[in-house]
Amino acid sequence: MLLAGHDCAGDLVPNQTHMRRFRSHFGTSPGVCAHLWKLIKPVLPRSFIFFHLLWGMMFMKVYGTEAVMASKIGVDEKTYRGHAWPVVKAIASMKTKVVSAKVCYNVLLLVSF
Amino acid sequence: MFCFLFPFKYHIIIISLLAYWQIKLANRFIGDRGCACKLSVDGTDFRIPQPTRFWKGWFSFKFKGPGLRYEVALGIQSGYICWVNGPFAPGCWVDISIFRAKLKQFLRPGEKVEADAGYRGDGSTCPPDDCANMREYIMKQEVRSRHETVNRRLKQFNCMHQFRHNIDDHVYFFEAAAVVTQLGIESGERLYNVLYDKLSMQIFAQSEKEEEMKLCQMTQGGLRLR
Repeated sequence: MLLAGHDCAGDLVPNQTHMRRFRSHFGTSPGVCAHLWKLIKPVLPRSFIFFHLLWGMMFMKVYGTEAVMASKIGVDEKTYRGHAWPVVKAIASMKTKVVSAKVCYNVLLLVSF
Repeated sequence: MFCFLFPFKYHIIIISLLAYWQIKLANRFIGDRGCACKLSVDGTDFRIPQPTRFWKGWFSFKFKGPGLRYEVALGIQSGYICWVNGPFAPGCWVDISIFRAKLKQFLRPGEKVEADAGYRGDGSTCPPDDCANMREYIMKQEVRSRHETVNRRLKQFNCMHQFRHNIDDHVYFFEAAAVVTQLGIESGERLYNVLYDKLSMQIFAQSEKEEEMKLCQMTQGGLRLR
């Protein structure tokens, strides 16, 4: 929430407003982000941390220009670019694992015989 | 250990190969009720900036301008995204051609997909008018309406409707959006349920026949009374 520019100090449990703000910045819920991080962590370099996933998610959802996004996050444009794109590509590479794998049923039949 | 053995540039390729045999298209069998149609298929267009070398193949009739088309298939019973395919140039590739090019090869013999009027003319599709009665028509309509909610979820990401990077990179954004949407569906943000099974079709057909019979009897009775 700090990355999204909202301080929820004092609120121990995130309420509906916090969730709405989170969604409007990252496009999904914190639970999905945590699950996503578990999936993409093995394909990312070791220097990447959870915050970089949020950079990638923010890149997809807000899709501001580099200068705008880098200043919002508080880093240099090059640093932002170097982290946001690999995260998006890593999430895209999970397509075969999460959505659809291209395995032909006829091929499977042939293999089984 | 995986990280040490191979450099980073090979990681994505290796993970993709490892995941190759996980048939997520098999998610269409979750909650299967014995219907011939297990998937609902639709094509969705995304706007792109005009490519510098003009080609009429980029034209999408939805935007009256350049776009890219993807094919998305949902499991009817589970509501999971079971298949994504693309990108295609919307000026050259109509929905049915995209379906015939790939997804049709992956279906079981005799299996069909629920689709809109753009898929009319193929034996493996069930277009909207392929129904026995009004209730079946409404049932099919609900499945297609639910499909549009997934398209809306994909387009909630600004990168999908204000795209400004290289066209080759569009597929990364789309696939990432599909993965995030699917994970969201799996982890509680489910689509609304639709009633779609053989039994209900039969019940509907029976009840409709009974209603017709009653109407006939009433009209006959009315005629007799007169």
